[in-house]
Amino acid sequence: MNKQEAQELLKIAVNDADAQFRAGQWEAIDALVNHRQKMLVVQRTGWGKSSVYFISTRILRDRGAGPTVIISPLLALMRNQVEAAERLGIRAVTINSTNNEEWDAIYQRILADEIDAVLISPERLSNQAFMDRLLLPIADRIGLMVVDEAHCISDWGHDFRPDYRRLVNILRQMPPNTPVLGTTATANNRVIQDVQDQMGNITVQRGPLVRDSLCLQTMRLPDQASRLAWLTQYIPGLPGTGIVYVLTKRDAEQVSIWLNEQGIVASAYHGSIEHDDFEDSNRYRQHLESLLLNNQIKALVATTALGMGYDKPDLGFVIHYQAPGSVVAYYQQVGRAGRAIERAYGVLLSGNEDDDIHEFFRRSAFPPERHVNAILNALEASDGLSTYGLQEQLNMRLGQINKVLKLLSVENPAPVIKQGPKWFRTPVPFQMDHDRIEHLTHQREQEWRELNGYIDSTTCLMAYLRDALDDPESEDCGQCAVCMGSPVVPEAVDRNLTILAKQFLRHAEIPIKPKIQVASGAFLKYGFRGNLRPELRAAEGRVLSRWGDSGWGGWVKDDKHSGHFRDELVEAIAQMYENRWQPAPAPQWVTCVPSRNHPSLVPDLAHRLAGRLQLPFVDAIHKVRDNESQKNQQNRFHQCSNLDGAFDLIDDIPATAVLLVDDVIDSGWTLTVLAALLRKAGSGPVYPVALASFSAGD
Amino acid sequence: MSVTPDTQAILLLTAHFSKPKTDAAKPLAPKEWGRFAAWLKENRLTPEKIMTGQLNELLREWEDKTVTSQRIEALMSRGSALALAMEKWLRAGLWVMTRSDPEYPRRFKQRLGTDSPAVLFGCGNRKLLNGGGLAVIGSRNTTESDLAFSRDLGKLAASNGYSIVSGGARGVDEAAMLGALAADGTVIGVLADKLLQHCSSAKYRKYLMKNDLVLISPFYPEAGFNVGNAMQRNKYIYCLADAGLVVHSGLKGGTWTGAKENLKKGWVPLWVKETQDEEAGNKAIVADGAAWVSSDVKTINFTGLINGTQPAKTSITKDYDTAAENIQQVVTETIPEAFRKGDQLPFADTKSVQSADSTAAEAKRDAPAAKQLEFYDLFLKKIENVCSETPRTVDELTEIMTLNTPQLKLWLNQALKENRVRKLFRPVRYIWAKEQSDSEIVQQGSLALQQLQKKIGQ
Repeated sequence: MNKQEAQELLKIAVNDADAQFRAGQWEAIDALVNHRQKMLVVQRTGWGKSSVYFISTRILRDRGAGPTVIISPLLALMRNQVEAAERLGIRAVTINSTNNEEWDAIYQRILADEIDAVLISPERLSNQAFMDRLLLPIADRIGLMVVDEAHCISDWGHDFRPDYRRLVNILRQMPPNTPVLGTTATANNRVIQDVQDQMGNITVQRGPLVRDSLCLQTMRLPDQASRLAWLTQYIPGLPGTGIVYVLTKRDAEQVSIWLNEQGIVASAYHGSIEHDDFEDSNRYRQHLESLLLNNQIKALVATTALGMGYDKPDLGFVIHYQAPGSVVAYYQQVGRAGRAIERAYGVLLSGNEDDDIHEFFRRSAFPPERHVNAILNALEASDGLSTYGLQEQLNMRLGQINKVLKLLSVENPAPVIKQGPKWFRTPVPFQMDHDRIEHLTHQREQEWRELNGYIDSTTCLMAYLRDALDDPESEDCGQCAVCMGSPVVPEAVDRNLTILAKQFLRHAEIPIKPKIQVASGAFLKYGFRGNLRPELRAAEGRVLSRWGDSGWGGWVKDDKHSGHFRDELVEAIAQMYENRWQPAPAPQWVTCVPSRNHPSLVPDLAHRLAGRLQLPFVDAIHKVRDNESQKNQQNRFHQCSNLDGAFDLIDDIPATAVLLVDDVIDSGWTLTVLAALLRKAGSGPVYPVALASFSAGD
Repeated sequence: MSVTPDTQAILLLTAHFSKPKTDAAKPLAPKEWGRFAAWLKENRLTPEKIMTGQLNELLREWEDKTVTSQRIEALMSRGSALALAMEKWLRAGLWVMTRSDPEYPRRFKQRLGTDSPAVLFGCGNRKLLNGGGLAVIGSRNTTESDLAFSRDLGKLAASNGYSIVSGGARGVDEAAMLGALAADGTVIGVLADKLLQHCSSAKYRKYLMKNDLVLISPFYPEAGFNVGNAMQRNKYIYCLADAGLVVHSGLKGGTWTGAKENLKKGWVPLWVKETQDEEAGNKAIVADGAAWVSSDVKTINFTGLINGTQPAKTSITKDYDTAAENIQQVVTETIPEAFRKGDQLPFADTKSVQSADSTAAEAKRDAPAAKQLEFYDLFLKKIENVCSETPRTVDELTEIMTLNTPQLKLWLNQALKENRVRKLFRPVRYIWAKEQSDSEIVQQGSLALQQLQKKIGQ
């Protein structure tokens, strides 16, 4: 295959009879198909990386090779990619958790040689069932392996992901006669070096990262209300559609609600966002992506779950509601804007909370050693345990357990391995690598400082980004806020909008979803098993704030420590209850969760609330067993069993609906159990309500 | 762990990376790989070169009835499958070795030649693989007393500093292995199935981590149970050991076939536990050339077991006491069949060098028992006569002594072990050793060993 022949394929792929290869494209194709090399291609988004792998696929397939496997965080190929593939006669399929009912059919088609390219996500590689059932059986004939967003395999990468660690271990075992293509738009020298070190003989090709149409600006706006107001004020004036990046899932949802209230059509997007109309999160996210792609919404309010590989040529703006953790991450996200349009905007707003959030991210990036040891010890004493078995043995949250297992299982060799539904200890010794952890944490602090340098930069913002990315060609852009000497988008915020935003933040109550499934074997005394019967379940409740947040949560935190909740909080619940929540059938009485440690704190709150709502207070629930603090119960089994037999009810429970008051909720199991006991004793619907929640929703 | 390109190429040619499929190219069997490897060597090619070079050009001269160029090409294109499988196996703590690995069992190459497995998957202490030991073989379904015997035998091996070599199956295998491990002994397990799962099992994990255990398998590490593999596995168990002991055998099946094969090939001396079970194949295996060993572990002299010189036990002669059988019995008990036929190289590794000292001494201690050996004594006398001045080759001796070669070799080996003769090289000849002190014997023994090792090393 020579360049001329390949060029003919390019013309077909991009549907342009005059198409010429961009610098580097033919070289990459040649290295892959004629020399079976391993390539790392560092080129800006839109350079045409998919042309390289689709043309290579066509050539290899015509020579009788098996299908190409593309490992990509994308949920589906972008439309322009699908079209290019189709023009080349490449039959591409996506395999992910949303379509596992199609796996068998896809598998049969692959075996019948009817598939030319398979798109899978990196986390599939950690799913042994998928690997054994699908990938390994077809792997005998994989012609080309493509790794999208290859910077993720670097420890140094801003978004190093455990699944990519598994991937790099696979790539490392690739014999020299197997072509591999890694692609990324965001890798500085250090990341490239790291990828080379980890992969061995890989050839690197890199081009300039210039993005002519992008106008950059940074702004420090300390409080959330001002930033919400800014968004309302200026998003309608920005061209086309765009993305608002936030740091947490909760912020994604809150900001998106605010924008919609303000008449800006936006949707929240994060890794576990769900919608009743969609079977699961993946499907709903695919839907959200297509809404933005088709300009049916003004903006997606997204966490970093959106981004990698998302390719919308006419994205008009990328605004950061909170600052990302590193310059590389920022470039990755802002670089989505303005690929094929004249002018696009990249505005970074930085707030007071950013520092804390990133500090939290750094601190929780690795599980504590005692968690690691607890899990290793439990597995060592067993012949395999499921995660449920681990929860029973260990007082750890499922999330904590999964985090440890993930960290351990991507090591190679790894101290644990999953076989079927159970985790086993392998004979591989393990020692936490404190040096590496410290090193990475230090690296992240350094990256965060560099990002702050960007926010406060007094030189060209684009040049700052390109320097940080070791872009070989870097010069002043002449169009950012610094080069222009004045803001690209105005900074002034309307005072009335800010007041409105403040109120909005104070009305940011969260529903308490009733829990349904109890931990098996946890309620031996109360006799709850499996799913709670519908007539025993709590009704949907409300929690006023998040512990310590910028709305009411700060007061809740202060007052809990001082031992008395101020009247403003009682009034806040009452207003929420009367103006927004309005549960029906309406509660006819009020009761509360008892406590032996603070016998009067919650009853006092409940009394005043009952008075304010003009409902009778009934002291209906008594604590009969000194159990451990519910706050210290880390998983469902322990949260449930700690409550078993802890409460007793008075004899005459009114048969009407009741408001069940608590101050701060964590897992929500106490309210669930008390609701079930109240219903059992003959009460009407039970509506839980609390001042604040601890639970980590982000 | 990273795998060398040569190993990658050999894996591509010989290993399964997922459950075997009917329509896919079949990995080369050991013999097929042997032919191809020999051809590569002849043409000054390496497996790596085959992988990275232009395959059709390199293979232009290659011709084989079963190993076609297309087959090689199809096997070689499985790079991604190799990577996916290796990532998983290495992650679980497995390693892989090929025949060119310095820790690859030398006994395999010596005893199996080109039939040695091209690739071994394993987990645990690789150094044990060249240390020899006692192979323990028996049925899955067995009696409690056989299990107790196996456990005690494992313990006995441990206290004598020898490994148990066994198959990791339920029953006798597992009892002997766990018996040895519990007594801080060392064990080589040769598995026919589920290597990957066994390595993470509670029963073996801690011993693997302590370096007391090595588990290996020449098969796909995730293979399920398969009769063919289980049968084939027996030969590897014998071939890794210094001696074998059958605890219980049926009159057919894996233990039976494996024992017969060992006797036929003369790999290691074979012992059979005495039994009251009339259904058992134990007696028939002895009739075929193996020797009885007491069912009371306490009375077993372990070193004798390993050397094939354990003195006869009166209990056995009582049980099978017929005057006509008696002399023959004594001979077979004392020198099992394998020694008469075997052309094994008894000491081929460091561990045996260390134990050689005691072996030589043991041989001395066992001498009174050996005095009963009329035929062997005669043989020694004759050797003294013909080899005192002139070293003789095996061919010369066969002619002079009118013995068949296996019988001659067996006795020569025995004499060599007892330092009654010395072996000279290029060509191989034997010369009578003059009466020596113990220390001289030992010295000479290790000298001979060194020569031998050098020889093997070449």
